[in-house]
Amino acid sequence: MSSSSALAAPTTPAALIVDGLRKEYPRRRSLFARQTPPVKAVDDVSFAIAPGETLGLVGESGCGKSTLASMIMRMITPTAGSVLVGGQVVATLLPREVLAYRRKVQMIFQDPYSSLNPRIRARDLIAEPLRIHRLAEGSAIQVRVVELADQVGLAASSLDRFPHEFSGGQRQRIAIARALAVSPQMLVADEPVSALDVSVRAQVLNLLADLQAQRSLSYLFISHDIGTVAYLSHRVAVMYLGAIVEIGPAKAVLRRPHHPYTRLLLEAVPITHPRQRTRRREVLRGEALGASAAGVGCRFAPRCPMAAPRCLTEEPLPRTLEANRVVTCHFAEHTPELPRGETIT
Amino acid sequence: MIGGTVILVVLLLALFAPVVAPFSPDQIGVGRRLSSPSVAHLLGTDEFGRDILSRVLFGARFTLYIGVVAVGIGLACGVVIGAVAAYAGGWLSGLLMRAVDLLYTFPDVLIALGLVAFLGPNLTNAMIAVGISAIPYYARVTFGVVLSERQKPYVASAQVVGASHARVIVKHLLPNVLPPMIVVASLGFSAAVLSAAALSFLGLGAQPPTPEWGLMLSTGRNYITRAPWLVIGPGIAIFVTVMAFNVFGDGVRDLLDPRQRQRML
Repeated sequence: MSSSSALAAPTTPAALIVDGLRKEYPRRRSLFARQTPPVKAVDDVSFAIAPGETLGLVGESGCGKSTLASMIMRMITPTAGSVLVGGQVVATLLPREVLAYRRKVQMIFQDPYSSLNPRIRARDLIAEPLRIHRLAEGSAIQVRVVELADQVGLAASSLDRFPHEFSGGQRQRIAIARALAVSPQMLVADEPVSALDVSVRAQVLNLLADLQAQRSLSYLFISHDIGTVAYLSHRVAVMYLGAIVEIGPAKAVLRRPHHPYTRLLLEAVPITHPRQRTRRREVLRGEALGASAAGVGCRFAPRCPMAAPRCLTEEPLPRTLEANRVVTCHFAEHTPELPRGETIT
Repeated sequence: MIGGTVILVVLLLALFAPVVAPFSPDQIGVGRRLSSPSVAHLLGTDEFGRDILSRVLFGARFTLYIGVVAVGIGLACGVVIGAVAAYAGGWLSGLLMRAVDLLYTFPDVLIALGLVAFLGPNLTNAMIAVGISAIPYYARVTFGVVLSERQKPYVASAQVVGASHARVIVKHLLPNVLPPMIVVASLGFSAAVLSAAALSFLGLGAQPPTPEWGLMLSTGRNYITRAPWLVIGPGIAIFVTVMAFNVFGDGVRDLLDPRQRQRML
């Protein structure tokens, strides 16, 4: 929790504060094996999101992004630390307060093919939150459903269809309408476009951007694709093996990454211009070790091209380098700049 | 759907047995004793001169009744146990499912036999016993189906918009769990009919003079060398009905979703 004050950088009262959040899963004890340390899925993560701001959270599969989202959505209980919304600790809300919380923070899931109940019509999927929270009664429900559908670009005439009769992009629009039904102040979007065709990704991202402009929504935008994050985010947090290794304004982080992991992620983004493809690029090698392996030293050291002996013995602490930029690396100042023309903002 | 058609025919014959049957099922001496099939008695007569065709037709009522009640008991208890175990998880799940596993290790008929011996031999107790002995089967299938459904993102999505446990179960899980259960129930129906017939055959179910197929087989076997038609009639009736429900169940299963084959095993 020591890092909480350093990583949080709100200028206005934050819409969401994540403070020293941890989630550990105990290993199954076996009769013969020695007891192993618990898996640290999320390891002391802290950040804040301002009203109307988008924080992009990037990291490869298994780094704890979704676990973090689940803790914010109160689907799983943190081992330590807290999620704060409106001054209240989310994990200890009373049952009646939980409903009020659900009206403040909503979520969009990764896969619109499985996150919509296949046996419920679009109309009723969008109406469900209205009914649960009693935000409309009787015929007003249908009026509101059509309104919401219109806001996300769904035709009112299509609302009597079942989810499987929609395309992926349309389904994600249903999911967005469902989340917007309670007029939340914050949306947690867990990889909202990664299950969609590339051709419709931009449409859904634009819709999210438009909605933010209209409603001053805050987003926690989770993705493994740094390019998608760059498009929508004001600030970017890069996560590796359960911890945030770099956080800062999106443009600054993407133009001049300070953490070697961020740099490698950016180098992995395909270059669109053919003439720029000649240079040999540095590639991220190997796989992230089990999260429990990160005990001594820097968690990224085993894969880091810049790793020095110090990295294997001493765990780096989060350091503030420039305005609002925090990096967890001993040698952040020495991370080489990206080659010209490779920035994606 | 051949299965469905046969089931419909059996159902209609059972309903209209008093109209369709040429004689009363219990009337003794409507024909000569043990006469072979003839125009007057299409399936022959039994040792008391009762018309076997009439008895088989009325027997269909008992058979369907037994099936419905036994499947109803097994399904109701099994679905509740399986669904609670799968939704609650943790120690409760372990306790319930291990108890079910324990029950599952005994053959159905053995459990039913034990229960009837305890409750006393009559048709009602036989139905209850058959129903109870089928609980592990329904509980395990329900457990599997609910377990796989509840971890799907649409359940999380419902919880995130604020749905209560009751709402999640009734509005979201049940509509997705029921279709595979319909298949399971129609397959279980034939098993229940067979078990009940077996109990009656062993003298632990329906008691004479009830025209129950299993019981008719049991009494008919004394005359099997002299008058084989005593067992042929009810035997074929059981065979056709059980077959029809099996075919029907398989058909419905294929109709609903080929993926569900794996879930049911």
